[in-house]
Amino acid sequence: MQKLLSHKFSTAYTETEWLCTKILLAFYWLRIISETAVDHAGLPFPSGIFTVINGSVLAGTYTVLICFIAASILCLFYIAEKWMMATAFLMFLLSLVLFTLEESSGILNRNDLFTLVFFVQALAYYRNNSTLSEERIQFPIQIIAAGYMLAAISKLSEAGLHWVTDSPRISLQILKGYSYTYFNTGDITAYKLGMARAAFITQHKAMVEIVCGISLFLELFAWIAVKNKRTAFVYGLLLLAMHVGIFYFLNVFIGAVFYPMLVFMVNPLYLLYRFVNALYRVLKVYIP
Amino acid sequence: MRKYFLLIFYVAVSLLIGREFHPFARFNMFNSFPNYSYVFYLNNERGEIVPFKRGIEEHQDDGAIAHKFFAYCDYHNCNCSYGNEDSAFLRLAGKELMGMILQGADTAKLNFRTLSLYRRYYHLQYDSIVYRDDLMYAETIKP
Repeated sequence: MQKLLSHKFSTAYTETEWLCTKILLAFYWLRIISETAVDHAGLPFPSGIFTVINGSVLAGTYTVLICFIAASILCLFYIAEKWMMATAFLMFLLSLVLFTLEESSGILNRNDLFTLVFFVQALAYYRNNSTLSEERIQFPIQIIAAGYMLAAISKLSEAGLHWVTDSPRISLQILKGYSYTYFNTGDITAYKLGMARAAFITQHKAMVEIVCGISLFLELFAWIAVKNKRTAFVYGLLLLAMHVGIFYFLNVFIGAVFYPMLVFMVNPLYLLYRFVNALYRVLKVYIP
Repeated sequence: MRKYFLLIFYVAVSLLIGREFHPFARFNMFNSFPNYSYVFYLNNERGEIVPFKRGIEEHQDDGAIAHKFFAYCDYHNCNCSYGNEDSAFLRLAGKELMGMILQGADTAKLNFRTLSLYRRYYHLQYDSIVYRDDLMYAETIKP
């Protein structure tokens, strides 16, 4: 365990760590690409680049399928570290088009971080200097931290500190989340659970205000994570705890924000690799 | 400062644009806690809930319907909140949403004649959650 932590708390990123990052990111990206909802009848609510250029021709039945095939090939190149600048840039372009198509269908899945993560990785490879091994991970962490900061700024500009004092009204959002599950599946237990959780919140207002205050603080000071690998890891664990809390109470999981954070700041696959490696070494000593 | 360049750049440009313009965004989810929330549901002529996923199509999703409703409101410059939309607006929005819900669905397999889309408006009244249901649009599936 000590070895595992000392390695995680070093300041340099290893090749294995980078490989684990790529595998996790590529698989999740491929999953959300395949799940992207594009309105086949056109673009009912044009947004982003499609407010400037006409993208209706892309809203065809086969768009997601074609993009999925292209994305699968790009993922293979990405994991195999082939033509990285071009690969990451094409992944950025594909994300830009497909996720804007999805937003133009009226669905806001907030995949913005994914798109930009690939762009800044292409930028790191374009610079291709001696700190590439750090920049290809540190650049995305900057974008992810910026996402959290924007969320905090949005809260403060919209509601100010009332965001904290009004937070017990989150009970309405909780009930909404569980009602979604009920009206999606017909499972009445989800609705009852939502009612119970919402009632708990209205009975524990002070606790909710403290927790929301901490969350706002975490989001606003996310820039601390950018400092180095250690701060990114510790901050990543704090944000992980925040997301688990949001999921438990609100039944809300914002994967497009959570997942890049988890991959770049905590990197659970690398932790697992180190753990299995350490376990193997221990077992090798005791079991001949 | 160089270490934070991309962070500052992304925050600054997103704030400058001030709206969703993928990949620039405000990440305004849960940025305020107003005294209302909306959910949408379907029921049939017998008053039974028709679940979006199990009753219509697996890819249908209530959260997505809510997103589409608010996208419709934005597109028509309507401030949809606190249950203040009039019945004419709800009917037009409901018709649009119903079209999206039934798009690609095999209506021959559905075992009901009429499908109605409702908007549920939750709000707090003296620490108690109350709600009001408004019919948006009813579609005859089978004559």
